[in-house]
Amino acid sequence: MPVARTDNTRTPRSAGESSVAGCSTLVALLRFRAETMGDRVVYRFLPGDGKAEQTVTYRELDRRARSLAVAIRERARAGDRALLLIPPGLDYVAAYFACLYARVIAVPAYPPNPRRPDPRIPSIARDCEPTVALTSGALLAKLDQWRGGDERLGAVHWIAADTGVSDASQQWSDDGIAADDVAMLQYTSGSTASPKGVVLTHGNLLHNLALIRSAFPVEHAVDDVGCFWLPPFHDMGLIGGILQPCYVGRGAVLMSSATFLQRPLSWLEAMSTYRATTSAAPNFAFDLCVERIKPDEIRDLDLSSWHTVFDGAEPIRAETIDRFSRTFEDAGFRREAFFPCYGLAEATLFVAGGPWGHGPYTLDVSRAALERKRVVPATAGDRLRLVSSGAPAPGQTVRIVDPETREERADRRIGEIWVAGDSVAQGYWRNAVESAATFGATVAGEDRHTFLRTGDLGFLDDGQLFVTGRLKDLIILNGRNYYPQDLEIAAERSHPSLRPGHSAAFAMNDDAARERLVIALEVTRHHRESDHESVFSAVRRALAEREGILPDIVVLVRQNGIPRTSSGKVQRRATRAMLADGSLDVVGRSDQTIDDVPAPPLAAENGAPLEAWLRRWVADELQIDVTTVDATASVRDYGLDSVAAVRLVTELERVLGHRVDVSLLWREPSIRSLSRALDVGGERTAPLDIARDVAERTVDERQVSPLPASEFPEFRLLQARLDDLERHGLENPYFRVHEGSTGSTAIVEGRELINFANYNYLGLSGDPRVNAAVVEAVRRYGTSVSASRIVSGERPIHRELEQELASFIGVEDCVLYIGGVTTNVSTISHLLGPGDVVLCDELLHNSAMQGALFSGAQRLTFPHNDVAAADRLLSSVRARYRRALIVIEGVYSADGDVPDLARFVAMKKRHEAWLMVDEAHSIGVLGATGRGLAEHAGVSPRAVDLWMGTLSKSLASVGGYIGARSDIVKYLKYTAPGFVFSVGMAPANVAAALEALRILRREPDRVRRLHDNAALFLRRAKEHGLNTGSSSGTPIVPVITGDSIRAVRLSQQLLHHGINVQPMVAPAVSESAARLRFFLASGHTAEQIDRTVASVASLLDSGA
Amino acid sequence: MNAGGVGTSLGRITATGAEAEVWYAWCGAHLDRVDALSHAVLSPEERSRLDRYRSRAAAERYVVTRSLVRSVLASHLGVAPVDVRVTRTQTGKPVLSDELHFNVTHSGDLILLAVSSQRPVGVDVERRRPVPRVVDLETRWLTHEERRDFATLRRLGISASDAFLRVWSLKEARLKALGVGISGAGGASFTKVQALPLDELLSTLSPDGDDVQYVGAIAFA
Repeated sequence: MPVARTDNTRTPRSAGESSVAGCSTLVALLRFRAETMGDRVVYRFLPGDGKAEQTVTYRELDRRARSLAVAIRERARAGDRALLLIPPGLDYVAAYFACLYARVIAVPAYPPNPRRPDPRIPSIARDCEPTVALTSGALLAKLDQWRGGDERLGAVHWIAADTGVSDASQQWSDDGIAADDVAMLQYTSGSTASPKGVVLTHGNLLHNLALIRSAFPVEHAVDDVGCFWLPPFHDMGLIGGILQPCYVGRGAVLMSSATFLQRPLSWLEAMSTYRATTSAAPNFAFDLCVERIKPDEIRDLDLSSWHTVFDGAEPIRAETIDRFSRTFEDAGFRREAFFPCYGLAEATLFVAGGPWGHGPYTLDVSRAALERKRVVPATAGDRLRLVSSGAPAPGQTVRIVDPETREERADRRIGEIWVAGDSVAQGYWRNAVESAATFGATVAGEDRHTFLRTGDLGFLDDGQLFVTGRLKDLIILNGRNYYPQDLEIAAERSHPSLRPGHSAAFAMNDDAARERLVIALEVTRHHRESDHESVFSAVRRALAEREGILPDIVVLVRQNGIPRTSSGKVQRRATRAMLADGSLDVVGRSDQTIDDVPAPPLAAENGAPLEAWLRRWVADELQIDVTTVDATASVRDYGLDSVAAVRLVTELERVLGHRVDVSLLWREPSIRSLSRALDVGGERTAPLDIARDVAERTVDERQVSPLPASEFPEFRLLQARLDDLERHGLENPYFRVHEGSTGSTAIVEGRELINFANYNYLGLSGDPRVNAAVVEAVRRYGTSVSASRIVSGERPIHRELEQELASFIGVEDCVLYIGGVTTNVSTISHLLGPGDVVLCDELLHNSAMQGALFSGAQRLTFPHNDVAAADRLLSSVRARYRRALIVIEGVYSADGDVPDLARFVAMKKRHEAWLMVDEAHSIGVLGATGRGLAEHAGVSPRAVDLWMGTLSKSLASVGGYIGARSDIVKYLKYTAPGFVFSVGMAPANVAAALEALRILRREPDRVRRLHDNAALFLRRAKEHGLNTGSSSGTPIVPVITGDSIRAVRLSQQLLHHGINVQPMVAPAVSESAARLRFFLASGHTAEQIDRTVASVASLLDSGA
Repeated sequence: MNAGGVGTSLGRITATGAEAEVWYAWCGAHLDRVDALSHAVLSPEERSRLDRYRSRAAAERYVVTRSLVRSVLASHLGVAPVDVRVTRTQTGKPVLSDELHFNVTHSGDLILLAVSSQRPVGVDVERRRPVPRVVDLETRWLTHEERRDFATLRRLGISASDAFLRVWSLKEARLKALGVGISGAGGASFTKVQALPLDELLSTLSPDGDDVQYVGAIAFA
């Protein structure tokens, strides 16, 4: 459906209409000025440091340009490129015009710092292949080594523009310079590695200069004095600061950006001294002035003549405008002088701005809606003030277009800003692909006109253009859009150690799992390391409160460490790249270690922050208007009674998903501080309203993958892994068929192998007594109990096994589940729920992790076997949760290591938490008689709340159990879904485990033999120098090979040597930890072990 | 009513080894005197606290409450109301001295004051009202024993809101007698704290035949 066109789409006027005295090139323009106002000073340059100003008249500028043009043409042909590597100043201006006079293409670039030359310059040189480079005599001498070290730069002709040129002005001739000639390449976009030069013709430049002039009343032009410190190699500095004054025939005061940055006051002093009327600066410059200029310095300024300040280098901040206007009001500065505008090099410079004299237009919108790309009016608790970038200039056609569908968007709908008109550049220099993508866009249904895609997002409202962010910088997390500058503003002002305008927010996707939000912030020189923590928490808190999001990583960067463009724009993507490759000057970093499950949504509208939620609650409770509830007052000041207080806390706990200390309500002096206190530690208590986001999506946006599974990306990933094995000439090691019963030996394809690939630790699977018991049970009870035990599936041997297990472990009672995975998933998810917390060792088996996930409890992980870390984690969060469960394993099957049970027990008691131990690999294995971790550690089994174990390993059967106090067991047997809704364990399986357990109790020597074998294997492996990781006294011994393919190959070679051992490879472990895992058994002989270790060692030595 | 002050005796209540006097005031009956009372009776700290209230009703209730406390305690001590020196314990409970214990509570329009010369005392009153999400509150805030009491009251046909408020007022009175806040409610042991419902005294506040609008409790530490 086409939408109503706003008045932004006027027909572009041609450049000729608004040209000065028929000049169609910049050369003709300067020559005209030199002839008609030759003695007039066009530029004054203030070198700073108290040095005298330098001036140049139109005539002198023309003469210098001609002389230098002759020098250039001695070394270059028309259309060649000339690199401008000159520090800001009059030499720079003369050299720029000289290039145009010589009909060579000017390529403005940043003058290199001889001690640390910018890698961008060689990169630009490779792209534009210059014939000559213009620099200063002083710089030229210092750049010898650098120039010589670069092939491209070494080949160009270097000219010292200030000293190396004699007066040859009379020899210059025009050479037919035309409007369509390329005047310059503006390198502003693209990465360092692949810079993109915007191709601008004389026609583009003159068209845009005319647009800028037409934005102002004519009467101003003549008396105008510009004052600029923006770098001359930047589009705004060059076109706005240097070309525009020449175009309208007035003067300009120039200074270097270094002068401004060192002493921001020097800008305003120059404005004051020269009675300047016009200037331009990006946002950060205004903030810097407010920050650094003292009140007594302001008194000496007179800014009353200042009528225009272009403010357009980045989305404009209302706060900045207000602060600057207020601060310099006493010096005569008028807020109306702010002339917010929008532009980019690809459209020469100026796209939108004005109307002049009105000051900034603002629009208050709902921040929450903006995150969903909607523009709706603000509400009391949800307000964001946007500043308009002005009306699209009459010669620039501006459209707001959906970047995906290319459909034009209606007013107040956010889309990409597209521009057409004579100011739009020709494309990128010799880069057809990028040029077509950027300059050749067409609006759906209107293929005749091509548009420039700006990459900026914005919307039109009542003819005013509002820029909301960069398409590429847009951070999309959890289905919401965040504009980095919003996050930056919120974060920067949260702590005095941080520098406003000096931060970068971006998303980083360094592992495939999910995008992580990073905020990098510069700290001031006064910042102390001891303040790191307070800064981290202030930043987290500010972002959570103001933006409803928490950063995953907060990085503190040394002053001026965040890269900026020459005009002072923060380079977010460059910051990200520097963080990734380690070149960012980081002084402190805080990673969110907590693996959170998002908290349930706050009940407030549009995910308003906690403070708004609290105010609304108080208003509802007292039945007053929410706008009358003051966030600086406390809930006490509203006279809430104790029942209301506990109701509030109950409700808060429900929405936050954790416990809240009720005394906070009385302790905190205000609703605001209360809402902050509820967010201590910076965890995710902010609203993450995913459910509503999903619900809001329309059906056609939903992607439904078709069956079959072979189309699924996840299937294709699996297939790729399997193919990878084949490509390396390896057999598929999975689902290998073993014939017969397996123990310390196995039969595969008719061959007997020494077997290290199963969990038959005690050799009880295959034991004739176990087999006989199973036969007897099947004879008596059949093959299935055909019902849930709670209904009619109970058989005598169920209870017998449960009671014998309980007595063996040393607990009151026991409950059987039909699978080990089911045991963990069902038990944990049943005992814990929302408002609880589960702490998992990071190497915990998947089933326990799943149980925690399904419970809805907060799931936190601590570093493997690190009791102290778990303790710290629990200390910081315990008070906020009802129940806390710590889950560890008896023996971790990846590494064969064991936790320090005594310390875990002491720790869990301190925190009033429960401790669960998964004994899958430790029951029948650890301890002198195989009673598991408690026996091994000398800790009473009753000190542990939940013992989980499996029957499928030492106990020669299948299934799992929970051993615990009898009340817990009873509760599980009556209510745990995995038990109640499952068939009872099959008689054969019960009988196998029962008989195996009885044999184990009668024959503890099996355990001793297992321990001896494990110790022997480990000793031999170490003697051979094999990497066995952290394995310690358990029958699981890894041999780490360091890469997956090597592990698989070694496994197959061992198979040929009659040894069966399974590899464990990525993604189960990290690539560098890829390994073979040897499971020792009581039945292995010393000879088998010796032979195996020797084979592994020799295969590894021979380069397996 | 004592001369110029605020408060009417509601009667005495006796527990094992302790006795207390209970006084009351209707906040609404003193609204025309609020300004006068705040100048004549309140301490400077109390007056500055007054400025912080964001709700007029809460501020007025504060003035009448402090006036009741000061009037009654003054007559016990034989000093002027403005000269009564109330301090706070570390946990924030307002106290007078080891010889005279007091505690005050309010709900709706009613303010109750308990004074005992024997034991630290806690008092709570709750206007009967519907309590939203009462089941959530019950499971979150009541101890095992209190939940048993709640269940008993429910079985007797008392509404969930009333049952909760009754159990809550007993709990609150105990906590206040101990001088701990609701945050101390978690595992605090109440075995030594005697608590009694105030049904009988409160029924005298209602004209014959009317439903009693308040439930309350008193406790001795």
